[in-house]
Amino acid sequence: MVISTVLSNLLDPFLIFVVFAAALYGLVIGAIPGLTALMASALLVPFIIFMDPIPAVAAIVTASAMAIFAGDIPSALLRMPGTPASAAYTEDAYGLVMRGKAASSLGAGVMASAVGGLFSALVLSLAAPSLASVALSFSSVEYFWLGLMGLSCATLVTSDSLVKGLLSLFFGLALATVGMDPTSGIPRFTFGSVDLLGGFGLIPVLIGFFAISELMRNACIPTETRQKLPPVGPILRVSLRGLWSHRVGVTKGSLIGTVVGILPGAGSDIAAWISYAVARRGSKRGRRMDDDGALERITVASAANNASLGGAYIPATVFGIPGDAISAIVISVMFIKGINPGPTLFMNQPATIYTIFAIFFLANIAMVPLGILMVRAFGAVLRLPPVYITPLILLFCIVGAFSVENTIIAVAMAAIFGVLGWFLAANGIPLAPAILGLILGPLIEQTFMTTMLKAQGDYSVFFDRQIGSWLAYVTIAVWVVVLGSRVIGALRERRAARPGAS
Amino acid sequence: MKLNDAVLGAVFCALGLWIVLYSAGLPKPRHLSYGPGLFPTLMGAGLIVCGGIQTIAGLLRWRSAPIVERPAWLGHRRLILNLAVIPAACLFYYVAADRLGFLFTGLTILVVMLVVGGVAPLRAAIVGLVMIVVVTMIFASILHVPLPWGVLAPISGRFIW
Amino acid sequence: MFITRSLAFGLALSAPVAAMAEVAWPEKPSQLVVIAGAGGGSDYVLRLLAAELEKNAGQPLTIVNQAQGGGVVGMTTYVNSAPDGSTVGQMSPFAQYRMMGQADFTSDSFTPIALVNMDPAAVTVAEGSELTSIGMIADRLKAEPASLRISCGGGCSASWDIPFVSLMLDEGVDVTKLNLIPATGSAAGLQELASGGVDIVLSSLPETDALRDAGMVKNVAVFSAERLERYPDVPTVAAEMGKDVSGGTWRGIAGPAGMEPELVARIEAAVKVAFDSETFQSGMKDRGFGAVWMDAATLAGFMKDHELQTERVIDALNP
Repeated sequence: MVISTVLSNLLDPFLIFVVFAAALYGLVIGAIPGLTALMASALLVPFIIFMDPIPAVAAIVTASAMAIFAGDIPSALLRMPGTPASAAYTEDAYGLVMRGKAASSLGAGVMASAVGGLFSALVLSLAAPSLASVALSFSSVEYFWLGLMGLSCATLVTSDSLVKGLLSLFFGLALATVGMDPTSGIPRFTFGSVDLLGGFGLIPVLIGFFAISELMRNACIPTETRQKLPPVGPILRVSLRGLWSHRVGVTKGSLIGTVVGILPGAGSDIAAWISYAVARRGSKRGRRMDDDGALERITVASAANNASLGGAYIPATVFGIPGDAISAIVISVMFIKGINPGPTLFMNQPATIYTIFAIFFLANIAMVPLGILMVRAFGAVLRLPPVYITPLILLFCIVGAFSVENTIIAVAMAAIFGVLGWFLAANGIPLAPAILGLILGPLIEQTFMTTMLKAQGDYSVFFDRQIGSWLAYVTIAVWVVVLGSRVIGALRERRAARPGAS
Repeated sequence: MKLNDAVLGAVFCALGLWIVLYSAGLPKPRHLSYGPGLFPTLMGAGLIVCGGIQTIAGLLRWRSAPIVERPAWLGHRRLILNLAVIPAACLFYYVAADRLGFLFTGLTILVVMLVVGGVAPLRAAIVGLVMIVVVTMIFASILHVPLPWGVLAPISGRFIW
Repeated sequence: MFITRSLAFGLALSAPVAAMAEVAWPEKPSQLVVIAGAGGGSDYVLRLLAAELEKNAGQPLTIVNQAQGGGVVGMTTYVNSAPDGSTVGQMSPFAQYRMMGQADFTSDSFTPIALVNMDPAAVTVAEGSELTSIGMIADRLKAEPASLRISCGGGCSASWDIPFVSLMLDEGVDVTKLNLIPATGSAAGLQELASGGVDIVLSSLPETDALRDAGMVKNVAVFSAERLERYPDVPTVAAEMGKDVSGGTWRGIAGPAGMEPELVARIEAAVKVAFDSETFQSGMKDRGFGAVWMDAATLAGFMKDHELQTERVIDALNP
């Protein structure tokens, strides 16, 4: 009964048209450096307000899924991650492209994204109501430990110097404290400026650190000596073979992504980072610094990245609790269209909600051909002389920074962080940990402070709750292992280097 | 623009110290003996420790690296201009966009950058104009991003579809 | 008889025409600054209103979302713009910003235009909680003020907790000891309630719909004079406690200080037409938002009262 209604809903030509248009829109916005998945979703709101409920929600679900995947494209081809999530594996993806492995790098991204999305769509359709109640057992204690665990990823994405990675992390965490303190409302580091009261937005900093600083890095290399973008080559065959060979990684990423996505407050950024760290440390294959190791890491993180989106719809549709900014927009679109999230939605309007899940499913299948098409088109555009590309990317960076914050100061911030990022990168300070710090800083600080307020300063509360205490021990173990192995590794290297030096 | 590790470490150390000092002056909320200053203080301390290690490591290798490494592009005027035009364009946008509007500010940025990149001025003007009109149409007219219209504000109603 | 009838007829005929002629705003492309992100409750209410205004006047009214700094950034933007009616903004609780040192707005910083929405605060507990009425909560807090963890459903000293603290002040609770816990929003506060992290959440009623339908939370009282049509089972604080304390959040339109009275009247009239429209009224009802009208003069008085209530509560909390 429900299935036949869902199928007849899906055959609506207008719906098919809307999904297709939203898919292209999401892919284009996501693929342009400076423009982000968040922007793609936010800009859709005024349009879909006037559509019927199902096409409206379908449009935003499709566009955001496509835009999150498409963020991998500039990340691989230009070294400019399109979403905070793709920042985790930019170096791996860009490195592969520059070694002539563009097809495998981008193919792994598109395939893993699609599979991760499909996996989470399956979980979403089968078990949304029962899984959502698990998500509701997480309080600020659990999120605090989850955030701390996420921070340990920073030490993993920096391969050369642990100290420089930590410097970048602390710098990002410190940046996150600028503006109004969310707990007490007291302004910090604002010097009376309203522009600083809002703090440093994640997107303008991301655009500055990665897009503008990369434009600057390229600007001081003479055009003739710049490395040319190698040809992409056929993608589908290579990536299907790669998908099979990395099947363990895809499964791992899909699982991690779905689980992290289900937890409101975590979101796709954290999912990608945690799964990247798991891939990097957790398997022999992912630890290798060759092409295959890089592919494994990209596969795991891309799968997690898109899987978390489906996971995030679980608490969003069942309890109306958003996981990140994008699912918050999806929820409000559902509200606007009268599809009020809640457990009753599954009883009263099952056809509607399962049609939406089915569209999420279809969008992830359509991602493969459309994504490959987009990679081709984008690759062709990038073959134009850089003289024309650079100003256009800069213009997109300006529009992108402005449209997410709607303040002109966001453009100035992107420029300042561009110069800063360029300077830090030239000094061997990795930028990805700073972005991680900016994502996790507010989460960790808020959950710590609210936990302390609730417990009136009693620290034992961090180990009192059942799930919380488990997460606590795992997090502490992860940190001991991570720091221990880095320090031992460094000491061993020094000992090995000493006889030669003296 | 590569600084010696010791100098870079010292810069971070100083930043951390400043953060710690600033945080000490922040008020505390009710019921707790620490407040909005706690987290920045910890981050400042982290910067001091890591910056300190970096400084020491840099001092141990002081002789092997100059205080400031002179980058290759400093010798080429063209490259300096290439580099400087990027942040300058953003700052120009920040200063001028509200008054001139997105269209004219963006046009200026595009044309200047194209000319700096070596495109002939007339060609740069045509290419820049096409680019800015297309971008304005997509983002301001169709997607309704509230980009500033500046001097076009009184007639902007016709351009928002 | 004949005269009155024809007069009535004539009036009825001319009414729509008059309404159309009155809709003289926005007469040029204008902006409405929303002090919340795309997709929240404020965004919804004001987009609904803006769509009507735009349609009636035939000029674009662009929504600009500036949620940074808890709304201070957005308010600053429109307070500092030219008072010519081309930039107006969302009017919502503002007095706390000055008292917390975040901004220096007073009611004189704005030109009030109209209020379109009011949602009373509600007290929600977990299903199965021993606290089943607002009276029990008050008694408990009177005996041990710090014994309950109360989520403000957003920042503290704001829309939801001010009426609650105001009531507790009247009841003689030592409010300086209350354990008020800020949250990133109502959804986060309700999540804490469901996970056992807090005992009480203060928020609006529609925000609790999903969890109440799931049987996980229960509304014990609402801060309004009468029961809400949509929630007939939720008792009012007035009836339970015998004290007329009401409050919550509200949304309206204001401009920078110094707007011409004639301009204000014109915008107010245009907003009134949009407010009365079928689309706006049904859109508000669908999502459980309270459509409440206040004209410019009433809103001005209301803003003064808001300042006084906020001042009283914040002073009591921070002696």
